[in-house]
Amino acid sequence: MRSAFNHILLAEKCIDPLFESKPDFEVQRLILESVGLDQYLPENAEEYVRFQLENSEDPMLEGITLEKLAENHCSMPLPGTEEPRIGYADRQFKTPTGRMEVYYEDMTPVEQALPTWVENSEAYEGNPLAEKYPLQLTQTRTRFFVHSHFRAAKWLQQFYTPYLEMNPADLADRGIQDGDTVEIFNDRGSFKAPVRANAAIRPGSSRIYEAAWSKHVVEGNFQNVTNNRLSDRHEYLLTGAPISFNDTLVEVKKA
Amino acid sequence: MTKYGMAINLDRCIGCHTCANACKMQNNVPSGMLWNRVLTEGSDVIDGAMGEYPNLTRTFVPVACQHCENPACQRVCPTGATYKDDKGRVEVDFDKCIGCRMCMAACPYNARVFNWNEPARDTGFDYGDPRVPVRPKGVVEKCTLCKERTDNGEEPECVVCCPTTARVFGDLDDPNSEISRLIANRAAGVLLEEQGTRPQVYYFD
Repeated sequence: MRSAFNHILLAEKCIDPLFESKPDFEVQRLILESVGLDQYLPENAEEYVRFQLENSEDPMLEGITLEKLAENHCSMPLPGTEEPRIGYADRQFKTPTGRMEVYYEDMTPVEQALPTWVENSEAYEGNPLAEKYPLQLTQTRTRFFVHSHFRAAKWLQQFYTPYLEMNPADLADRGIQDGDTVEIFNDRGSFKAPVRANAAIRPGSSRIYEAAWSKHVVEGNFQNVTNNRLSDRHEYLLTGAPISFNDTLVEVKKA
Repeated sequence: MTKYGMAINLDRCIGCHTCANACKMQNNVPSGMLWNRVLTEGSDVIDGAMGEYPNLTRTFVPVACQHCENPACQRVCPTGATYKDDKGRVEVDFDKCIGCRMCMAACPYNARVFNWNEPARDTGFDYGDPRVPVRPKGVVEKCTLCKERTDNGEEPECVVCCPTTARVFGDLDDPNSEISRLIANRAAGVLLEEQGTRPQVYYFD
């Protein structure tokens, strides 16, 4: 249910969820179920909306019920509304063409008029480079820090200092022991860190928690190996070129 | 009789480590020491897993003093510094502790830490609850079940701070307490049962 300026809107289902995607509310329920706290949430979205409408003390919701909303094609003016809000009455839109755009006209040269999936530039199946550098390196978030924030906090360093993690099978293949200092390298550069065995790491990949300060890394910086290719669409993007950190292939050897 | 204990819900524990630091703060635990640790079952690293990829399971297990009914530490303590108090908690009298560390060798849970040096604190000052005694060099220390709080009708800091309410504190001798009912109704177990220490800390999911 949404407040839309001087109207209240009931969001209707448009299509069934695709593949394994789920509505937000269902995700919330599943999370709470997993920790045994789901009894505090309404059973379903309808019950949730009904609760909001029936328990609100807001005078703006006077006389608005779920049934009336449904009868009114899911949109009702709030009490006292004379004129509905009309957006873009002048038909001027803040787009490159000034018109309402249902696709990105200006991104057609890079084939992203509509969002289109593009294969990884390095970590893709069948890349001959993988013979030299077979491991995908991923830099993932850790609960202990917010990117590079809080890194100097001694009480957080108690729980984590930078190390690479690999599947035990991949370590065994390379004659590397849990705890060894290793060099992580490719054609762009290298860095050194201890490596830990972790069964949760997908074989063929390696993981390091992102954004450690260089001074906390045995040698070098994680970004010495990071894929530095800029995709051809970057100049069309509002915030510039994204860095494809995880689209990186490396090899690991004992330092 | 009062017999304080703890029950920890392993489905709710998300390994956030809030309890580890909350305890450290409350109890003025010095640098390099923790009274409460959060382990990842079957793994030497945090966020590990058990099994072989991709058939994996992950469980976080917070471990501190288990406040055993039959404490191995008490048995080996030469001075009686380690004792079981009138509320069922295992405590250390720092005046009697001679720092022999037999208790550390005996404890199957590695629950104790030792002040090898003059205790240092990253802050440069004492923190936490002023009711908690400041320990000197040469004594052992561990989870007290927040004695200063629980003597005063408050719950241990780790229980209060847990963001998923995974911890329950209460009187195991009261059959109507939340903890007693939990242990009766859920399949709650203890760690290293075969050691025979009879922990008063239970784990369930």
